Amino acid sequence: MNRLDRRDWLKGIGGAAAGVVVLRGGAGCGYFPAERGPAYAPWSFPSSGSPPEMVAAEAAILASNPHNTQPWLLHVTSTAIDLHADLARNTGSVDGLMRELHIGLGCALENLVIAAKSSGRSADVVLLPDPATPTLVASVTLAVIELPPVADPLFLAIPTRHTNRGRYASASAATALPAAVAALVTEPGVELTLLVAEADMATFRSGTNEATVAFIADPEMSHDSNLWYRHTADEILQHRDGITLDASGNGAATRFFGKSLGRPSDATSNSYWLDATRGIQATASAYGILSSPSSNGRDDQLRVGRAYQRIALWAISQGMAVQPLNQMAEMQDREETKGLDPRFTGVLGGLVGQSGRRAQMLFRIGYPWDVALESPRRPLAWVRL
Amino acid sequence: MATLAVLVALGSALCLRTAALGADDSDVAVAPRYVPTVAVALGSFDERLRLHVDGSDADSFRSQYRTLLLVGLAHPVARWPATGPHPAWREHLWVDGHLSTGVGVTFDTGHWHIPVREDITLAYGARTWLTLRSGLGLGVTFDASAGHRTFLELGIPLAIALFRNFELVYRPMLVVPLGSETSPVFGGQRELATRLAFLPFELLLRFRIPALGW
Repeated sequence: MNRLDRRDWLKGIGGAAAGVVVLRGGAGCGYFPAERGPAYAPWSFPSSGSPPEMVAAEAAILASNPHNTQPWLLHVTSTAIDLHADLARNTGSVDGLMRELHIGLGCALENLVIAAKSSGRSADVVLLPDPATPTLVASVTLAVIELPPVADPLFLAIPTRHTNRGRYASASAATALPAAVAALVTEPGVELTLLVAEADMATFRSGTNEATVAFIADPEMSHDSNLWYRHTADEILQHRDGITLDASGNGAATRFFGKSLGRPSDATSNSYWLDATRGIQATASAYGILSSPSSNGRDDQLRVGRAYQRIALWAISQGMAVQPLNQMAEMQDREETKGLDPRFTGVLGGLVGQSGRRAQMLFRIGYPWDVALESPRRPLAWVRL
Repeated sequence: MATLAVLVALGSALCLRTAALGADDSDVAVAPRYVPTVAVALGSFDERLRLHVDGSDADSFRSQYRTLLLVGLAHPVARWPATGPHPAWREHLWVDGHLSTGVGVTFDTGHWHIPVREDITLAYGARTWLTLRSGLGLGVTFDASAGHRTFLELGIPLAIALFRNFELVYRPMLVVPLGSETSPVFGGQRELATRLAFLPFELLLRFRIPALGW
């Protein structure tokens, strides 16, 4: 066997380096960095030169929403924007009462209003203006006003608000946090219960863990949830919606190997979800519950959505983060639609602490370790009527 | 940067000293004195998130793995003089060094790390095919993704070399943060930095490439 000389070694090293470059280029989407491209373009907000009504519409499509289904359609004119529900974009048995879908529409409405006001337009909102057309959830009339002298921090937070599913610091809530968050909830009928006592937080955590187990054990809910999972770059580019690995809050290595190893089974996805719920997503400074007086009023849900979106934007502007943790509310709805034992309905009733009120939106709030990554978004052109 | 300059100066001084040791070292004729190496490493390090809220500090910690791909240069540092104390010592004990750099990635945050290290070890040639090494290492890891998370490494390399060219290195280290990121948050301030800690875990698999040596 011939002994390799220095030149042979140098050739080998050079060849290996070239191979790495070729393989990396051939990988296309690039596994390690977060996905980029047209599916994420709407986050470049606001687009330059857009008139105020378009800025408002561009803001609406960047709102929080369930499973990133983006269940909205918009009719935009220079003087008004109508917000419609796209009921086909639902999560099936996960949201059997379409509670979350309407909360997501409320979030879009709040973004729209904030952006309009920051762009020199008033925004007069009428919820559910036409009883004969229940999918028309809000009409917003725009009129010219003076631009505010100082940019609204909530407006500035719109393009940087991403649901943060990662680890938060193990730190108690600041003393002023409950009052500050409560002050954001101004919608009539909507109340915030902010859990900061350790015993209440422990009840919320254990309830969320048990609700996740129950959710996973329900084949229909598990199936309907995983339908919205987008694994590959091609899927993301095609659909521009859904839950992605990048937005999952998992670490870089998990995202890398997750993308490299192919689409996981529903059981594997559920296992990761349960681990995250019990682990990194059990970190928080407080848990919040937005409740309404009625059980399933659409106007209440829209108002809850507006309040939640305001909280989410405020949190970003304050170096904090929020994540919806709606498993107990989803099981509450499931108990109602399937006539099951009202186990989680009872847990939520106890946490809200007032009879006659219905928990609509659950979330954690805290100080995140890392910035959340973007979720894909359908462009405005896809959702305009 | 000052630390890097010190390391470069240290490495240069070691190389000059080795060159000055003279040509009477009998190994020169049979084995290269400067041997390039490549290595892969798996280790961990800790980070600290400190929240200064309501006038008090609350610390949170997390550990994460990182993997490194290193290229280096093994070089002699010192041998016993020809008139040394005992022939066995002259034959079996010597001091050598290893300068390395490379690139790494952290598993959780996905940050790119660029370590620069110099290890000085006392080597014991137990057999012709077995060498044991132990010593001290100084290094710095530049966090290319977040410069303020750069840290200093004070390592204790413990190595077993088989057949001269395959080496397994266990390198626990003291990590000293050289900066931190701070930003205002509701109620106070947050500070994120590498944690000042003794880290018990880093393993390297190193290959020496005598064919490239001189």
